[in-house]
Amino acid sequence: MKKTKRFFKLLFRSSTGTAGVLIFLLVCIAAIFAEQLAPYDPNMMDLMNMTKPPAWMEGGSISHLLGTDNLGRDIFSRMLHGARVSLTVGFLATICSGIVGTILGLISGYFGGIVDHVIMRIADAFYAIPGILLALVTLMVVQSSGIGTLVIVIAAISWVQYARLIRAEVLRLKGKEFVRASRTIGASPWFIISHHIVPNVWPTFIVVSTMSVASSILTEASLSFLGVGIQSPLISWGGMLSDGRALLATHWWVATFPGIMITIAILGITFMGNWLRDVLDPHNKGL
Amino acid sequence: MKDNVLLSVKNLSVKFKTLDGMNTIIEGNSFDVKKGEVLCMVGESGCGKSLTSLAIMGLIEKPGIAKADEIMLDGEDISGYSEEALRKLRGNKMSMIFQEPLTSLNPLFTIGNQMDEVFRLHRKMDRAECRKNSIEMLRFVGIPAPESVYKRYPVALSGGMRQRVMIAMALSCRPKLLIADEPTTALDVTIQRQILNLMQSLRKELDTSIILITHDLSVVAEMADRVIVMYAGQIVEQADVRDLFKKPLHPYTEGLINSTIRLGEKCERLKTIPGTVPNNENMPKGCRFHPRCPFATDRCRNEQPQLINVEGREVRCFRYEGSEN
Repeated sequence: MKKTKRFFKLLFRSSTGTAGVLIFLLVCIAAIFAEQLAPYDPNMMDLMNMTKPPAWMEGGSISHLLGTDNLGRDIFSRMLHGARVSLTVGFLATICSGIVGTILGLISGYFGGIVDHVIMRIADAFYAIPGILLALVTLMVVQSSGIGTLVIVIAAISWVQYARLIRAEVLRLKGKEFVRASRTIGASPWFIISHHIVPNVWPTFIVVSTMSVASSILTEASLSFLGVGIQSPLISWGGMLSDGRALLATHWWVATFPGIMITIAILGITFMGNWLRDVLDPHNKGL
Repeated sequence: MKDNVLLSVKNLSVKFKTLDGMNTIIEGNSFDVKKGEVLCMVGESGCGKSLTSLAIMGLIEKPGIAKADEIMLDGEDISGYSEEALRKLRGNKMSMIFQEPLTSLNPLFTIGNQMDEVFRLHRKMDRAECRKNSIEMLRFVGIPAPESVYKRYPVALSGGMRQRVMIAMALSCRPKLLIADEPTTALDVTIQRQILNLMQSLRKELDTSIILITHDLSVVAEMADRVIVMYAGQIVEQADVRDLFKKPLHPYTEGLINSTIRLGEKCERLKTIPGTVPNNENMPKGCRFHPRCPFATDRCRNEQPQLINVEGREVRCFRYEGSEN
């Protein structure tokens, strides 16, 4: 109970943090309850109501709040369903890359030597290739664009930042006196990693992960926009953007709303990440 | 090996692999630590005091390499032990405390949590037993209200308290040997006094031998039974503490003692030893101390002196040749 109270205190103290968490929760709710919240089937075409403008514009109606696209599909409904795909991809990719990157970073940093060398040179190689290009080529080659493939591809281009950051943290911690002290009382490497390194790396990990959710969503949107990501009938914000691109001059709302959605979601998650970084600072603990 | 000797180090060297080949920091040092005695190691920064102690613990890390003909600890030669075998000894038979009590504890865990580690590692105790023993140890090192300190985080404790916790941790398994690497350097004088007193009384109670590394001669005078003086990686003098202060043999020891200030003495400037410690990559030929030595002769410049026995003590200087026994 005390912890929950403390959590909210810390949250409300930061306005950006509050905004971030709120936005994040809203997007999550949209994703989870898309079916219940959406007024229409997102893929239902309605040729009578093609390219209807948003409700507040002339010719718009309250039945299609944010208007319809060129096939008469309700944009609001599509956006809710798009949140589902975007968040799923964002989270899964983050979990995959986080696990791989963290483990490699821990090994690399703690054991050093040849292992460190090999892991870091591979990381360098990944770093040298523009991520989106690598993803693009891979997706074109494998010719499958389900959520699973997309997750793996995004994870493959984003594990490097985990590995590097965690490695740097481990190197810093390894020189700390309490790690040395632990060795003098006979602790094994495994014990030191699990008791001293991991708990101290944890805040960094959480912050990087939050940011990584944001960047994964963005990558997914970019790939879908470029036409190699999520394919119809699955809906993603990037895909909607891509659909609306051709109509931008005449029917701006088709592309604009998913665009705004991407921006808001990324912004919210980034705010939340920044707030977490402050809150999880180990020096705030125990005071 | 004599019965009363706890630790016997023979011919210990520590080298570091550098771009220019092997760089020898400590060369062929041998010494004994008797049961229940306090052995002080003194010398300037970088003379290899800390490395010597880390080498005994088996904690020299790459690119460093420690080598010894023999490190006998309580009847077993640990010089060839694997990392795993050493791990069983650390914290159990031999322990170490460091200079920086402020950072020697993990800020994320409570004192109790970290103290329990030792018992979990070496005694395989369950939680309740760990707790009981840890609190007992905290009380043992003179921490008031140990039950409450047990639950605190390190930030809530002062430097002196944290060093007490470190000592409690190091002594938890009643080690035969405690290495204290400048345990009071980071503390102020009154706390320093308390910590030194604590170490003295614990030594008597537990019959632990202590290797105390310091560059503070007042600490040496206070604590030591025997003293090893190191210079540029070599032992230059080894003597009982009284003999050493009464009549230092090696010119370096003499210089060290002269550079301290005595109570009641009036002086404008402290005496110093001229020159600086030689660079490890560029050791002077002959005696390593000769560039700074007022008694240096041509022989000192060309030939390395060996440790010789004089009046029951050891000194590395040509001036005492002939008076050996």
